[in-house]
Amino acid sequence: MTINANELLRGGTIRLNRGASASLAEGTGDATCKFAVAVDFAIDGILYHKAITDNIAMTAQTEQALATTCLYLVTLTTGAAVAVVKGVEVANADLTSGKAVLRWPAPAVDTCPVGAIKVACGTTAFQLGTGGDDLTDDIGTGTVTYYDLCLVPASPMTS
Amino acid sequence: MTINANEPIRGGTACLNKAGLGIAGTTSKMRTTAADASGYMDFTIKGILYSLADADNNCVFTADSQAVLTTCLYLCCITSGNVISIVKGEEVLTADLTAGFEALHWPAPTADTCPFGAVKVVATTAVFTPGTTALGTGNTVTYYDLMNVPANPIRS
Repeated sequence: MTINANELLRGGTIRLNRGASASLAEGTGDATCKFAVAVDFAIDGILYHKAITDNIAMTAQTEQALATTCLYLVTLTTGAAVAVVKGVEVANADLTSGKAVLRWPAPAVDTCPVGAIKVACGTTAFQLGTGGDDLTDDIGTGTVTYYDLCLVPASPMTS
Repeated sequence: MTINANEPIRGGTACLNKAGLGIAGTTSKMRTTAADASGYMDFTIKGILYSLADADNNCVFTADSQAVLTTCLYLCCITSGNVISIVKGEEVLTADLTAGFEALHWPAPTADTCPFGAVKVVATTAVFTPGTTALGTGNTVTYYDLMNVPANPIRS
């Protein structure tokens, strides 16, 4: 099927740029993130702009168990504040063997998904957000991957 | 309903970065100043990309007068040739808007143009004459940078 976007579109929530390099990244301060490139985004058709910002505090999430992988959806509000939605944790072994997939969390109403953080915990548990653990430093032999999103992808991640 | 945008998409009309609509040097006009400091507003009409350089006084009102004590939305549209026009919406009594009796509906853009911004004018103490009355004098204004026309009306 082909979607003819010449029909009059109304509204729309989407991120519109990425820049020359990755935007979403670990912040300088502990347990923070940053946008290394400014973000242009729309919520219900109205455009907003998030300037380059370091040390963005994120609301504390429930702790992620060791040896699991989880997606955290990073969204922006109309006031350009960051709100994070935690996905469902999946055991690393199940993900590797193909028994489970990583589903993208659903963004909250009136927020724009602009990025995601995939945390694969190793030998320690991990808590994202204020008062929690530091990305990269506190995941115990695990890995952290950042994604800049235009929209929430249609398909789950399989690795 | 969820639309899976992985299907092939053809065409499309949208503004792709925040135009930074605001009052111009001539206070009865508006201007664009791209919020990303690129100096350009990028937009597409039916899938073809265009750009408009920041400029002073580039949005000129040409519309009927707006009565005092009313609120109205004006939609800024641009053609493939970078000609900007402003479409006036329907005036509503500000008191009715405040009371929740009325909503402000977004004007429909003219054919083959890209809506990139809007301004809400509340005529507080004087008639607002587009193109003549200074923005912010006898009225209060709110600017909106649009990707496209919002789906829902404004209720305040």
